[in-house]
Amino acid sequence: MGKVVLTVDDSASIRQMVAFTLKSAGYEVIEAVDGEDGLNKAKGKVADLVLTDQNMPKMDGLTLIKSLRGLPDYRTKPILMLTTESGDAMKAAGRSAGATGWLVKPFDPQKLLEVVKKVIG
Amino acid sequence: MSIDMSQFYQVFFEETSEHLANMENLLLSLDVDDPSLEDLNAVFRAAHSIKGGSGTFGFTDMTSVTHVLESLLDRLRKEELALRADMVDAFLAAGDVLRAQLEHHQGGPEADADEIETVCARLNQLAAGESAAATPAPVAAASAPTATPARKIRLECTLPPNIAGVAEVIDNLLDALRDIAAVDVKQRPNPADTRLILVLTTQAGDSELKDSLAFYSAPEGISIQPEAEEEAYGFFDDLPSEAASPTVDDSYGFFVDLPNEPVSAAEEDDGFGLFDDAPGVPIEPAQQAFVLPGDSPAAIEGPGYGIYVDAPGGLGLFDGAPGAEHVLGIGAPGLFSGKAKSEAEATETPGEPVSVGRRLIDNPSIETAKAGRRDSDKAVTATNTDTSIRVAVEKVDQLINLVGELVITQAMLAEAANNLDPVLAEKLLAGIDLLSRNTRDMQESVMSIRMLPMSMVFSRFPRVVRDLAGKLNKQVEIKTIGDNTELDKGLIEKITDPMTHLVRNSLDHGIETPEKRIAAGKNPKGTLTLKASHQGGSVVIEVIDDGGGLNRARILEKAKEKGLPVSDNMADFDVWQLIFAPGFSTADVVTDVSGRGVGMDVVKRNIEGLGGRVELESSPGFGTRTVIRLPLTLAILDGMSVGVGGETFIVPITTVIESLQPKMDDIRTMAGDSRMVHVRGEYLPLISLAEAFGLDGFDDITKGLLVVVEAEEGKAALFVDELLGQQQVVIKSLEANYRKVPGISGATIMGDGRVAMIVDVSAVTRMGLSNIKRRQAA
Repeated sequence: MGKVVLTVDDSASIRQMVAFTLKSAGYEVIEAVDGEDGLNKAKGKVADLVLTDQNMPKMDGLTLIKSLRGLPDYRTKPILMLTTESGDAMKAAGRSAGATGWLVKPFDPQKLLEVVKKVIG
Repeated sequence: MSIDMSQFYQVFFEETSEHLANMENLLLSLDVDDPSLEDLNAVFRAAHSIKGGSGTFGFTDMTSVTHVLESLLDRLRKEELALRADMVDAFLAAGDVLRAQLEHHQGGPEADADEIETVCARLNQLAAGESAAATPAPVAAASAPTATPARKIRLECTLPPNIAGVAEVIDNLLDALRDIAAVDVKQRPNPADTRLILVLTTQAGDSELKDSLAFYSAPEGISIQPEAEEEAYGFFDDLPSEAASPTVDDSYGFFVDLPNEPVSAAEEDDGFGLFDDAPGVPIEPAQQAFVLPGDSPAAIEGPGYGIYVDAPGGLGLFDGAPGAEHVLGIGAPGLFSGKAKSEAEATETPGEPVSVGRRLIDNPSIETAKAGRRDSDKAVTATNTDTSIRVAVEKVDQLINLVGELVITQAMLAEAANNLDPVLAEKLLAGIDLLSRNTRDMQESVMSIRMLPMSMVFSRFPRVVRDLAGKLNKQVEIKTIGDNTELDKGLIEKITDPMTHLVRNSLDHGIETPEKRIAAGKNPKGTLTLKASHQGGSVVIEVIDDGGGLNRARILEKAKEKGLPVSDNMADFDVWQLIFAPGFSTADVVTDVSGRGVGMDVVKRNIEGLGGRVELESSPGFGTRTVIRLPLTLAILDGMSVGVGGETFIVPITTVIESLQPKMDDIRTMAGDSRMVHVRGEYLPLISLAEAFGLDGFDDITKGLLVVVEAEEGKAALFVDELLGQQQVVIKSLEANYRKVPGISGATIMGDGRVAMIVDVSAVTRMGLSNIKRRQAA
């Protein structure tokens, strides 16, 4: 079985694109519609990588990352933040929340695969 | 691997229109003086999602608009700016532009470029108007430069050696540029290369840029080219290539044994610009997006992404790597120390001249990722199975059709079973009973898939009312009641236009100006109420205003002018019906909102086309109420089957009041040979279905039956040979399968397989009445 990637995004189209891309590359993909859903799904099945959007209803990406880092299963799991804000402030915020890295939106499927591959192989 | 993005477009379109609708609703409900932060956040998120999606899927025109929209919203939600009514107007206009752009991408007409420009300019102006005081930086520079409408250029400037090495001079230069552009420093001049390379995002022209650099460099030393994303790679062309870039795995500790060098996490193949931080080299991650002066906490950066090296789950390259602490102690750019602070220190030294660079490999290679990957031809799986699924309407319609066929089959079985001996076939009959119940349940559930709440229609009106009220200088509050009343999707789509007409009419002619209202002792703010409810088998939609009401005298006057048959003592109800006559308008002034006399007749025709009715009630000084009655669905009908001349006809049950056996005494023959029947104190026109459809039915009234129906024209008694029963029928379009027949609204297939016509009660009544009138006239 391939590595499991949890993708958290409130946008169905982005989620579908991410899921399709990763599935095509042989990863198993779990989708979540917002931070809260993401946290629940992360607890349900431990993912090898979490990709999360920042701006989402209910719970945003940074909060999700912080919450995940509080879980024993996710203390060292890679978590990438998908964000439209490439500013340093956002990067610093991501870093302090415990993100492993970030990926700036818009990105293409190719880039996504590259980065995912880099992180979890 | 290449992935066809177009497969995601549909989802994006649907999602975006939802976001737009949601945004509009939120904006309309915002209290300008005290906006809820939560709502502002939600509006921001909607704009943000559209921006992210449109960027990803390549609809960059939408990205530009959402970008400026988002920038302003962001400042609002951070409470840097106060919300003003004109901002809401601008946001709504931006929403309209986005919708037009979205429609264009879906194959609609091209969005109006001027409109887009106006909206963007307006938004920028709103943001800039305030930001001038708040932040001196130009708006465009405030956030990600990638999507601003400003152009992006690459500027190379060869500096004279005497100033190239002076960091302060370069800083001054950059500061000057930052006043007119968002500056991204690619390369500071160094002894080896005295060029200053910048990527600028600016609205300033070439000459303006050259002017601002005139103090530092001759114009011929400055080259300005449009910047493409890819061109940001590999600009150390003339420098020797840096040490080998090992593969990902090998990169661990590659430089560990070099005492004075922090580890260089060079990555292979696609040149993501990973920290060739040899001694003395400031971080120079090749890609434009990240060479921002200032702190960049990332360790590994590519175009558009980055990985914090020391973060949990990261590559873990340098945690406790030998030499890391050591490096720090020396004060070399200790990038991978694992401490944010020291990284910050390290990265904050962009002033150091570049002494070594390496050529970064060009484009992210497509080949590498392809290897060992499965093909992408896998079907897209359903995205969001949590709460709902998106299904094409055709599939639902197909299901409805099939259920319709099932209903017919069930009716056939039931009919065939009638001939069986109930004792012998007890089990079969019980099964058929069960089947009929299950079929009915199934039919209901399937129909409910097509049902949508009225809020789908109502939701557009707050905006319409807001815009119109503004245009007409009236104060109008809109109320909606019964938003959750469900109606067939087909009806929902078709009811919107007539309702818009009614709402416009109410606003334009119904609700008075605040002055008039105050003079009449009313609240200066008028109320428009939209109400939907279920009544029996129909949905009743009401448009109610508390305006001046219809002017009876003026309607009669106009009607006389138009030569309509009127008299001064007509009942109010009949007078109001006059405004449904084609070309009828009582408006004193034809405004650009309504009053051109096209309208009410079209409204009426549309609604009748849906099998519905319109009625008006009005009271001078208190307002007008328009009532629309619609069948719940267009696909199934509860009908009474009647026999006429050996044929079966279906009369929609909603129109039937009663059936009775007439007595000869009750029949009155009028002038000519038209007949009236006396039913419970009323004289109703008697219409023979046999006569209407040219069949050979009973002549003797007393042998047959009368079905009293109520159509919009009033009550009438239909004369039929016999009543056959009551059942649900599936409506099949006669027009689609044959042609339009006057007096017939459709057809259905009966249990015995025969085709039965569905009587269009309104049309038949009209036919009967006009016959009577003609005869009276003769």
